[in-house]
Amino acid sequence: MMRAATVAVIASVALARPVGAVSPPRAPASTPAATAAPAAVADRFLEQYAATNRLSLGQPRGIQVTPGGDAVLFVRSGPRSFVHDLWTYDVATGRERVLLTAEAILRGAEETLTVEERARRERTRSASRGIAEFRLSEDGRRILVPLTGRLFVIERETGKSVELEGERGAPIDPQWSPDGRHVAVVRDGDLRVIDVASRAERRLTTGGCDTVSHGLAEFVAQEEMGRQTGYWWSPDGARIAYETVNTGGVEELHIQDPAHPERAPSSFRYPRAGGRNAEVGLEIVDVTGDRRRR
Amino acid sequence: MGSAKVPYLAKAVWRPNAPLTILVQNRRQTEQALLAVDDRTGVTRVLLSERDAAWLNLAENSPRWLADGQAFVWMTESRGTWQLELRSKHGGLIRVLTPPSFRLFELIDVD
Repeated sequence: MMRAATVAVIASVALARPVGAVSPPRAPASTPAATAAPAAVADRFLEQYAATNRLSLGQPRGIQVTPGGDAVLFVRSGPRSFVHDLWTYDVATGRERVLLTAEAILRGAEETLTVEERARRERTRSASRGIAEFRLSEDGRRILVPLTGRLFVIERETGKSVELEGERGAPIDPQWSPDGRHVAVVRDGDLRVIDVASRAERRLTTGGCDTVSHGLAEFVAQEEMGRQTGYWWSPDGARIAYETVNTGGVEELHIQDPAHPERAPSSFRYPRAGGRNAEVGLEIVDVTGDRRRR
Repeated sequence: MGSAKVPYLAKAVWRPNAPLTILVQNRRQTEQALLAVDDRTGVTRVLLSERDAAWLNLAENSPRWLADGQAFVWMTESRGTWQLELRSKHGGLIRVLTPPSFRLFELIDVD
């Protein structure tokens, strides 16, 4: 087993080399190569493994082909940067370029910010890791980008960006309606739709709280079923089916961070194997706000 | 859908020309049913159901409704290895699309 593990590590280092600058070997030149190489390799490997976020930085993620097939969009960071940009690959020319950066979107938006928004943005800026995800509209012409707790719509051709200001509360899992007229989002455990043209936000559900959510995938779905979303647009954009979750009966665990004994423990509703799960249901609501239960 | 009987909502898809379609499982994940939901009444009908003495694995991008909504592609391990099936809009098996020797790993897309 040891032999197999060593082989795996060396293979990883070989892959890691092109990712970033390789520091010179630390072993003295006089040391026999046969004994020095594994130590030096291990040294470089651990440094690179950490600096490249387990060799994942620089890989394209969230790859999406436009409906017209003219471009491929993806997010990517530099080889040693955690800040992701949105890239576009032009199918006709084979060239790729940065389409958008978080900095450019936020700078463009800054001009219209209120004093309060500007202050809020400065407070949250340190948490920014660039463009982590994006959603292409079904016609492929607009891109929805969640950024530091805000939502932006960007025209793919011109790069012109508009903020969907909406209500307060972190926007979770924003998704275009199939007709492109609305963006749905979950804030504070309740599902909402934003009219893209007027930017008016309408709340479709009520009652979201610490233990109740409408439109979010529960823990088991996210962790064990690979399902990250908790709502689904109807193909005509008129209705949304959404998951209801009640974690009121789920065991609460209190996790203390040993590195920060001065902080109070965080509490989580965690469904231990064999314990009680969240109660899950499915409901359908018209975008106009009329609900049906099931 | 009684939450005590079918506690897991494994997946949902809602495609043009097709009903809202959900996959539900029991707690032990040994039984599952693919249901078509009438989005006006909430009434469901069973498209297909599967069971396994050990457990059922979930497959990505399955079910995948065809554009006209007349049939869907279903990925199943019911014969011991992953295979693609073409199912009618009522759930009946039209034909098996890949032999066991195909070594199917993942359904990417259907044109």
